[in-house]
Amino acid sequence: MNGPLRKRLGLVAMVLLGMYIVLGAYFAYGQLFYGNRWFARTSNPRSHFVTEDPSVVPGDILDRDGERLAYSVTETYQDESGQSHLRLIRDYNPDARAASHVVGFQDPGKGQAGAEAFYSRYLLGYNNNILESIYQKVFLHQEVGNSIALTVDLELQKDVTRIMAGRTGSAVILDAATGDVYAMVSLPNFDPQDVGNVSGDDLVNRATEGLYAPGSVMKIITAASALTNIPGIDARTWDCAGTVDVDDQTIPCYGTHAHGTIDLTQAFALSCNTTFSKIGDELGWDTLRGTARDFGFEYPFLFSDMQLTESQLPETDDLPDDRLAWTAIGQDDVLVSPMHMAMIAACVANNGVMMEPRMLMAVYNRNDRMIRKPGSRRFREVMTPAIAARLKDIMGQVVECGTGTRAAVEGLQVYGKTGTAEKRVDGKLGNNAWFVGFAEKGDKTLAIAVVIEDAGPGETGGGVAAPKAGQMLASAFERITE
Amino acid sequence: MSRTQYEILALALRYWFLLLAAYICVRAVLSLKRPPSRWRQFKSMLLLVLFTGSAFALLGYRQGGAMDIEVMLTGAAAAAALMAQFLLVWMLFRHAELDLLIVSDALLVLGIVMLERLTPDMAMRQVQWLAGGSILLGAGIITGRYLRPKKIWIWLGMAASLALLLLPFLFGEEIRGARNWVTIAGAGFQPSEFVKVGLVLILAGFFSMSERFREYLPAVLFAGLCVVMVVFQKDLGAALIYFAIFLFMQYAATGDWIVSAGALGTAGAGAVAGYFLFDHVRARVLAWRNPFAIGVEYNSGYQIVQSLIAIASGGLFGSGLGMGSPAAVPAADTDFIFSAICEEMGILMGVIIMVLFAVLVAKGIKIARRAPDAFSSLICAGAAIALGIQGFIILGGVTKLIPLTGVTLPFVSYGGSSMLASFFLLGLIEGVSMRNHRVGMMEEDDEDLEDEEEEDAE
Repeated sequence: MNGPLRKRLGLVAMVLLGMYIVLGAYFAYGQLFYGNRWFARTSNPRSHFVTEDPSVVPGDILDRDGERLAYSVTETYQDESGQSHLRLIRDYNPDARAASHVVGFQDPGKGQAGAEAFYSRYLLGYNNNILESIYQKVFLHQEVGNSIALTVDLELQKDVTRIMAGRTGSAVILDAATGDVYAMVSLPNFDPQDVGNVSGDDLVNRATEGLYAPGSVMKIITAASALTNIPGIDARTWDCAGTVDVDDQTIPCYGTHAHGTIDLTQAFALSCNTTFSKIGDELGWDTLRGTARDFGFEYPFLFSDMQLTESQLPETDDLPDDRLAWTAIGQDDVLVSPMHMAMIAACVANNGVMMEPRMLMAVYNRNDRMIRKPGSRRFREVMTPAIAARLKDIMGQVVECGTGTRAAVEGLQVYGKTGTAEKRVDGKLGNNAWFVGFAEKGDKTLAIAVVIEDAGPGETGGGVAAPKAGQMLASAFERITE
Repeated sequence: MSRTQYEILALALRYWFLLLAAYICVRAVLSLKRPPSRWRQFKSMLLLVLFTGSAFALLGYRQGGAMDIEVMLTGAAAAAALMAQFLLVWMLFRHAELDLLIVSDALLVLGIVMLERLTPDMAMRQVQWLAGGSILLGAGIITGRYLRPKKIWIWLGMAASLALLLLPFLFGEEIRGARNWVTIAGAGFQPSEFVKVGLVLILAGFFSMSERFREYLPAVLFAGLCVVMVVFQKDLGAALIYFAIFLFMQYAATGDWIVSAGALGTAGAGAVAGYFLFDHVRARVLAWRNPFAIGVEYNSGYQIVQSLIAIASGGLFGSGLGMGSPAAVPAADTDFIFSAICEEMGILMGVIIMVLFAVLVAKGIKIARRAPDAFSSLICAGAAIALGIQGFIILGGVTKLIPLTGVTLPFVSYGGSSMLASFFLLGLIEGVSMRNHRVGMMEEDDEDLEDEEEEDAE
């Protein structure tokens, strides 16, 4: 037979085998890197707790001090034919309401959420090795799952909830160096014992799923972009007349207050909108969007410890100047979650390195022996240490003599940025009041993001969010000791 | 045996199953390099029977209590059918490639075991299809060995294929969104599976007679018509398979890459047009891009999401036979049987399945390259390509590498049409292999061929 045909058949074989190699590599890669996340999906029936005659009794959820947040209670009963059955009841700490969105729930009607859903792999013992599985089947009357300890502190959750004073919104406190989540509060909260009667809106975890217009806290990103991309920005000054016209839009400072001639530090500390919209237009959309993406915007976070909603930017490659000006001060189509904002603050404190938020502190087996202790993970390096240091400087000015003075706490060095994003709900004007920042004491640095979403027209970030953030930070440094 | 004892046994036997499958898989890969002795091949077959026996024995105790005799009988029937098929091929067709048969039987055993675990009725029927498939295997061997390209059967075959593809429009039944299933006089079958075989033979006939575009133009038109007809039955998987068979065979036979590029361009344009014209195409692509997106996860992405979750739940070694929830995946016994096998027998078993398919392709094309004439070479390569591409399309679909198009996994999925067609294609390869041996004996130039092979490999 002819030679060319054989040669070409060889090529065909190569192509087909190449396709199979790609297939195998993709299969292995997907399962190794995403397998655990896929398992944690609430659409996975294997991750659901079974209440009648469960084959496995789920383990406990503890806080960082070993306080039980959720645990299993079983009762045996006999049906009409005299057969004995087991019923699983999931019980919760009486104070678990303060950590309701952290703990989450498994409810036949409302679905699954929080640690109860996300860590079901451990709670149901899917991570057990074969020896443990066989031991349990041979020697235990009833198979049990593993317990997990979370990084949150229940006492701190209670303090933060109290400080929020019933306002709708969210607060997140992170360790800037490790990404450990010490508190994650979303209000209104709910009673985990009684999920069936809670409205769907209250079940939403605002800290990770809530997307808010950032308003002036966006200036952290605009400032980082300016410090990186505009040489000599520190030597420049701007004239603020209280408003500025871009195209046919007029962008005002808060209360159209004219700040006069100011430099970058003052503009940041006083949250001068006109200056930052000018900076935004000078940077251009590509540059500003590039920096925002470095900070994690428009990125589908695939963290191993939580599901975090993607933060959004205006979806266009060609943003007109007026919209760019609004974007630079956190209006237009910018949306961000409180958790992401806390990560941004932590990144500034951590020399420009952003850490993955960490919620799972350890996994314990049925004998309370620790079988897994995940380390902290870097998410990415966002900016150089020099720029992070400069940002930290100007964030210090905000609390020292700017819009965020009410966040100051005795004995703590507090840094931050306030934000007041205007919005209109049901025809009524209102604000998202933000405070985003961090505080240092000794060698510990805690980052915080607070957002009050039902702030009235006169309530600014500096007015309502900053003082709450200060109190929360003070409490956090007291509660988190080791 | 109590349920607990069953569970312990199932957990422990995971490793045993993987070990047996891995041994057979490694032997199959090694056989690519050098043909093993008959004894080696027989040993692989015995291990396969051992696999079947131990898996069915285990499943017999699945409900707890005494062993379920029916399960054991199904297993015995499967093992006996396999052994009989192997021995018959051995004795009736000397110089058939038994390694290839072992590869496809290994896939078949994995499928039958999983079917017994999912829906015992189907396992028994699959054993019957195995028996029927063995007859088709013989028919395929004879076809591959003796068929010569003649205008008369080629044109008749074209007419018959088109007639078969018309049936679903007349008597068709819609199953999972595709109108590709026909029931005539109580017997249901899937014409597109058989047309696939016809396509391989007809294309081989045309291309072996002429390498000039003008002369093989009818083949192009025929293939194009087949693709269009299955597209209108919404059987996108079959369309993809037909197109790939045409593309690879046309390129291999003629080397005319301009026509190949033209076909690729036309198909690409058709795919893009299909994306914008048809909702069901767009839904597939969307479900592939992000099956977990809001509004997709419980909708068009449900199958693929459940498939990925099932595989992830089993981990490397699987949950143990009978201890997972593979039934949570829709169509776990047909298109998604791979996910079910992975969940209970492990990701490693999934990798073994992929390697077995790669061996099937490599071996088929290797035999094609040794064929004495273009026609034999092309039917053999065409059969290997058809099996390889179909495996790739569904394996890629359930692992989210490519958009999901529902086709069966050859030899593994439940299905009579698929089983018969797959065994016939396998028979074609075997027949050509016998022909090679016959001609090799006459010409005794095997030595030279062997040397060239080595060079190519390097």
